[in-house]
This record gives sequence, C-alpha cells and structure tokens, in this order.
Amino acid sequence: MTNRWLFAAALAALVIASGCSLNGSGSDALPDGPSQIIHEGDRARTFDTLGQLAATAKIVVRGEVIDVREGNPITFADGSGITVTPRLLLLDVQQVLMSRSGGNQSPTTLEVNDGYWQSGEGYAREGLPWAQPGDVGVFFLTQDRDRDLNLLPTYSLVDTAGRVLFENGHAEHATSPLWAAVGSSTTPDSARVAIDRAVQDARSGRAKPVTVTICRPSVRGDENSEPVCIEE
Amino acid sequence: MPMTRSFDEVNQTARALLPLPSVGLSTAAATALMLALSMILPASPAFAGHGAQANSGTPDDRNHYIDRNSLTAKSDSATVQGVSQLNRTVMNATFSGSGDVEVYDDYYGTGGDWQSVSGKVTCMGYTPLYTHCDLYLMQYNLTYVAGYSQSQADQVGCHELGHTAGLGHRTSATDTDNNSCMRSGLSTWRYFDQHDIDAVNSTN
Repeated sequence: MTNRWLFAAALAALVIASGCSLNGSGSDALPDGPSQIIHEGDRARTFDTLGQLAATAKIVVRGEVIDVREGNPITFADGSGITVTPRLLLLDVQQVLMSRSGGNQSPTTLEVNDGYWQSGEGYAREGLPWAQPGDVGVFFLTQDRDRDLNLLPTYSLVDTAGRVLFENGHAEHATSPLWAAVGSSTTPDSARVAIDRAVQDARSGRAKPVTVTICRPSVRGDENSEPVCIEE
Repeated sequence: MPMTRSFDEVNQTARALLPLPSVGLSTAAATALMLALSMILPASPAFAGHGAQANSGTPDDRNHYIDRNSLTAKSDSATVQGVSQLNRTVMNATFSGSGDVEVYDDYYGTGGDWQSVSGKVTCMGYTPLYTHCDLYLMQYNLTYVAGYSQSQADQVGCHELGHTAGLGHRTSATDTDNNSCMRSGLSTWRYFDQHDIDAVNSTN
C-alpha cells in the first residue's frame, strides 16, 4: 500500500509539473488525443438490429483513415458562447457496401466527424476512441445537416454502434446491444459476417430504415418561430 | 424567462472557486492526474451505480441551481418536469440561482455527436479531486425536440436532469417494466421510477 501511494504521488507530481510547463509554452496546437468524454445523449431513435442500422445509413463503407483535419469552428447560437472545432477523418473509401445516395459514382473519399476540440481539449464520444491515420474499418454513415437542415459535405455515424475498426486481429466497436447479439467477443471474421448479413437484410428490404422527424425554425435564426419538420 | 448569460462567464465564476483549473493543468496532465488519483481513491459511486454508460458524474452536492438560458417554451416546460423529478429524490433543485446546471436549447443540426441526439449533458467543471461534477452543461437539440409533443420533450428534460444527478442510461434489460425516463429513445414516459430514485439517493 505504501509503494502504491508513493508511486501515485510521484506520478501526480510529475504530471502537474509537466502540465504547467506545457501550458506555459503557449502552444496553440490542438491535442492529438482526447481527454474528455462526450456522454451518450438521449437518442431520438434507437436500433434493434445491425440490419436496421444499415437500412438507415445513407452509405456503408469499408475504408482507411488517411488523415485527420480540423473542421471549421462552430459557435453555438444558444447564447452559451461555446465554440467547438470538429475533428474530421479523411476516409479513403475502399469499398461501398451499400449506398442509398443514388447515382452511379461512388465516393473515393469521405470526411467523417470523429469528436471535436473545445477550449483546447479533445472530446471523444463515449465508447469511440479517436480513430487515427492507418485505421481500417467499416463505417455506417449519414450525411450531416446544419441547423437549417441544409446538407453538409461531411458525414457522421448513424449510431455509435456504426463503426468497427480492425486492428491487430481484433474488431473494435462501441459497447452496444447490436454487437452483443453477434457474440460476447467480436472477431474480425464474426464482424464481417454480421455486417454482410446486415447489408443483405437492408438491400432486400427485410430490414427497414428507422426514420426520425427533424426540424428547422421557419424564421431563420429564430428558435421561437414555428418549426418546419421533415421525416428522414 | 431568464436572460442568456455566456456559458464561459458562468464557467469562469465556477472555476474561480476551483483550485486545480486555476493552476492551468494541461489536459494530458489532468488526465494522468486523474489516473494517479484513481489508484488511491475509492471508485466513484457515480460510475459504480446505476448505469455506467452516459453517466456524466455525480454532482458535488445535493443543491442544484438550474439556470434556464432563454429556452423555448417547450424546453422550459421540459426542464420544469425534470426538476420536479429531481425533487422526488434527496436532491434540492431550484431555479433560484446558477452555477450547477446551465440549460440551453438550439437547433444544433445532425452532425457529429448530435446525430439522432435530442439532448445531452456534459460536465464542464470538476471538483478539485475530479471526483464530482461542479458544473453541468445541458442542451436540448431542437432539430429533434421541436418535432416532439410536450410529453416527449418532458421525457428529455427528465432524462437529462437525471444525468446531472449521476444517473446513467436504463435499457430494456434494466427497466423491464418500461417506466423510467432514463431509457434512451423517443418516449412519453417523463418520470423517474423507484430504481432511479433509489440510485440518486444512494449516490448523493
């Protein structure tokens, strides 16, 4: 117990010292790793199966993260004064497993939201460590919309269960009942089988999309104006 | 309705009371410090209790000052519903102050962590040993909530304020009678069940 205390105290002293000196350097560089968790919020829609997830996604792709970029800073218009900088993955699309976007051309790259920076700290979604260049995986994605429901060029996971990274013989994904149904420990092979089945179910119509009502203010910038809503 | 104050203004006031952030710890240092402290401190009840997922941490005390910042009528009513549920527990939630829970709403869109998310809570200021949360940010996403009935919005208010009392999510497996607002997903159930109340009372 004494050694444990000593080690902890030494570690704490070391990091306090290093933290002060780092801050003192005045560096504006955003951190490479997250220090805060974005806790899972109350969801407007939930999924019972991976097939529903695939059917709801606009596009399901297998790809490799080839770069991480800073998105344009967003200042919330809610009066909080908070500004976040999206962390965007540049995804090299190796295979489109399913697409509802229409058209014949498949995207070669996609920009995918993966956490953000705020006040110099990195935020990662609960159960989803930041992906890094070189990571390869499957992504269930939907196209982002802004506050006025305009489509943006970026994409996001349709659900936290919608990302599987294949690393060192493991299949990494967020804890979710959707993956628990695959097995207590998901292997790359079992994940691929489950994803293929989900895509087949979505393509065949056996799995239906889970729609949600999304709204914008009828008067731009006035949150008290009547909402105009659509199903997505 | 109360006037909007900058969150940073509130945050700075709260942080002025906290010695650690004023030292200017880097995030890496703060994270490592938390790691070190976790070796010598008992596990926080916030993460040992009801639902580890989506748990924003237990509050620093039972007094909860809820600050509504220019909310729409729907979000305001939902917050009132959430406060009524908090006050069924040992928590003492009031609208007569600020500095514990700052509540905002807006059309945040569907990008990133807002995809399919109608409300969320983030701890923005910890107590000096990082064991409890001193200041929560609570947000309603009108992109979804504006299309909700008042009962559905009330469920979000109950759910998010439940997080500020240290509650995590319930699931079909842990809420078999489906009567807790802490289940995630569109619902009109806008109350804590007895399990929620017991969990808040045991961790605060």
